[in-house]
Amino acid sequence: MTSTRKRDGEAGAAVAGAAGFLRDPAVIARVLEKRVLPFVDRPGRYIGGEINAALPGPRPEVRVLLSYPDLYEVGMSNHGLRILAETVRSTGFAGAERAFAFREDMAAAAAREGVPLYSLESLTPAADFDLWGFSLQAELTYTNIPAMLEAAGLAPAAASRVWPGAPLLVGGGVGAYNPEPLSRFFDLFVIGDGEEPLAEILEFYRVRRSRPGADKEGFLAELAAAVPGVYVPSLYRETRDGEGNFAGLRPLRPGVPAFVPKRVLKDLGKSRVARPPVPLVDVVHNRAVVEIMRGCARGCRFCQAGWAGRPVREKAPEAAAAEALEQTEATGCDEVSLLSLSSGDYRRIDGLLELLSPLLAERGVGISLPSLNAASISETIFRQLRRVRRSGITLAPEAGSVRMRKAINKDLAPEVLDGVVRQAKEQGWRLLKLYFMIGLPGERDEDVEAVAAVVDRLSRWGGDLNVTVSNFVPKAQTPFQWAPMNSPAELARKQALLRSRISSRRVKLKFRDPRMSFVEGLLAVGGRDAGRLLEEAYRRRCLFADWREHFDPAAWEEAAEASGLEPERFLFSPRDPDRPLPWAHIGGGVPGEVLLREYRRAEEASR
Amino acid sequence: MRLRLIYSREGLIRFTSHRDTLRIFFRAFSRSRVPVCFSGGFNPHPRVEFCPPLSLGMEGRAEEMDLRLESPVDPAVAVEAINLYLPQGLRAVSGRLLAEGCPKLGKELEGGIYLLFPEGPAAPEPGAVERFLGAERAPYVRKKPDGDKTIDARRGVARVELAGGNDDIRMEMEILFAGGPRPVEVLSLLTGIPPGELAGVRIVRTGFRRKPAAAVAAPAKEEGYEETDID
Repeated sequence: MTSTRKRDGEAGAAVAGAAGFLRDPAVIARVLEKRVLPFVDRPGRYIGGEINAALPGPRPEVRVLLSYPDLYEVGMSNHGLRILAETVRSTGFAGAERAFAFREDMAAAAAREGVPLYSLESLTPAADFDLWGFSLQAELTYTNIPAMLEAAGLAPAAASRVWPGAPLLVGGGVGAYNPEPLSRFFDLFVIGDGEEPLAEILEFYRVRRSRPGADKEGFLAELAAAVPGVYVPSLYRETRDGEGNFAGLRPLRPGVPAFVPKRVLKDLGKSRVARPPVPLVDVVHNRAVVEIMRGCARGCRFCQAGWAGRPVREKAPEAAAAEALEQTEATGCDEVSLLSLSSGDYRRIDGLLELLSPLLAERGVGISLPSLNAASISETIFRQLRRVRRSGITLAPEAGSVRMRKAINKDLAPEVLDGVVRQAKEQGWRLLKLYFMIGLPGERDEDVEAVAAVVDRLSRWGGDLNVTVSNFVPKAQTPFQWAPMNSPAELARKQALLRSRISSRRVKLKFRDPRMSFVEGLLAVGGRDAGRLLEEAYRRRCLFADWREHFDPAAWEEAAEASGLEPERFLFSPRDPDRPLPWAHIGGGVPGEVLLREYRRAEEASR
Repeated sequence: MRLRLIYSREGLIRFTSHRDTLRIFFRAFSRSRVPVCFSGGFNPHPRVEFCPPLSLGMEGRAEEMDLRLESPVDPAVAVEAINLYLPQGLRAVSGRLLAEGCPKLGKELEGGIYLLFPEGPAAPEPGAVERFLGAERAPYVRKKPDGDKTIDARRGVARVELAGGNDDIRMEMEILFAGGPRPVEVLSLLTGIPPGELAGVRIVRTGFRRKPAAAVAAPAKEEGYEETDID
């Protein structure tokens, strides 16, 4: 490293102390151009400079870095980050920038040349921000978090990072409903809708950070007391009962809440995105996105987003339409996605489509509805969706048998499903995508065979059929948080069974690797000790685990072994409703007794 | 009617691929409301002809593209409008309307003019350049995942000149598109350094070699028009 710098003769003075990383954005830019980007794969993901990428004003008072723990292509499709970026900027005193994970080749090239993980807006080192927020959406992305910290020259363990100095690490999103596996890395979590608490945290930070003598723990304790929905893991200790069983987490200091209920944004109209950055490289979803509804009242018992996202809140159609027009105007995207968990349940969906789709059509912009419940697809939805561009139609029956459909509380009758498919055919759709889940609590082989029967029946619908079969993973704050998960071997057996029962050759069948689901399960319902798994996996470079081609089953197995977790005890067997769950101190909005009642109903239905 | 647009690509955005650059331009055309013709069909795309693409990482000072227009525009206004919607580093420099019958870019442009800034060991000795130019053939092994291929790197190289000295060496090359090597391959041959290690050398395409007007056939009308499709 030293020799390359000497050759350059410009960087020496700009090197930060112990970590040995460059700090000056101008120097980082030169080194990136000459010695890093020419040597890595798809460098366009590391350069920023997109249209609408807002440079922070002259020295904002609080600098916030927002991250998704995966590559640019994935993170740029995350709508939550766009909302939070606008939330930060609307304070008037704080600036929001973005950083995503380095792929291994970039991490190596950057480390060799002393380039730290940096923000895409201004090439500022991540370590120089005040707050660093992570969107937690998928357990298999978690090992990328310590990797990003390391790439930034920061210690992965929160306890080892000194403040003031290092940024405070903030986690939010559905992953925060069971934050414990991540608790060793993060300084704080925000539970629930992030818009309001983030603004409050920024205000608190601005006012309080310069108070002399503030230490990290004291500062975080004050923050936890002042801003509802803030959970500071270092201020809680695990307690055990007489038999040594986990008995919940208790606060270590007075004033720190024993129970942290989630925050709820009452008025969805307050959450809007006007000018999102337009990716320079092709990303997973490159389109304008307007969130029209948050929460879902359907109550599918496995669905974390649905239960933890309650109550249902709708954005007024006029506001949603205005936002859609503003975004397409500001981005030039040719597709607007109307985001919600079940767009057909938005009460004024017909009205919204009738208002919006002619306006967009004259600009050559199409509309997509990402999640449609088959029971709620109307004539209008069909008609409007095919106005400009017609992608495939996606339906998620999830289960095949009546028994299982009742157990998961998603009882999509075959007549309804067939009706929608018939309509899709009549309206000229050519591609049908179906989603199913196996490994559900109480499932028998006949239920798996029932999935095959549905697929076989629909394979003759008249177009292409893609079927994705995922594996049930229990999630916190849902009725199935007590339900056991199938072992990888059992899931593999059921997948083989399902495959053998589908006779049609016209079906494209896709399964989720059971070993990936297994890791997801360990982290979804594990407690603080599941953090060891992340450390062991990170040490074995198990990164980008959400990418099938990057998932290394042998290394993960080794890591699981080394972490000493006992999946037979807490994952493959039911969790005892009489004992506190690892996330008992976190409030997902729906009271435990309601969730338990739903769980019992599921048990009855699957009997 | 066609609008010939001259544009530059500099700074970090040169690390985006040709496909990505196309997408960025197409979006800018649509947002600036420049009346570009669209192809018909299921997935309409603008009818645009580009000069041979810049390699990833290469700068371009005067790249060219022809847009087929639905109605005439004031080129200066169009350039200004497009610039409003281009990201940092990409810039429309100028534009002019082409007379009917003006040859297509693919027929007119015969080669690229490149400026290289090799530093330290990446700078070739003047003797090496003379030997290269004096040779009739210069075999070069192009390494590919599906097997190596030996090409004649002398073929298609019209000019190589060294300028400057000491810490500021510049090299200018003119290379024909048809059958010619890539600039970095010539540099690799001159220095003995594998092209992968020369990726950090700054290379700018400053312009093009054009065929003499008489040698260029007028384009066939609509049907002969080549389009660039990114999807």
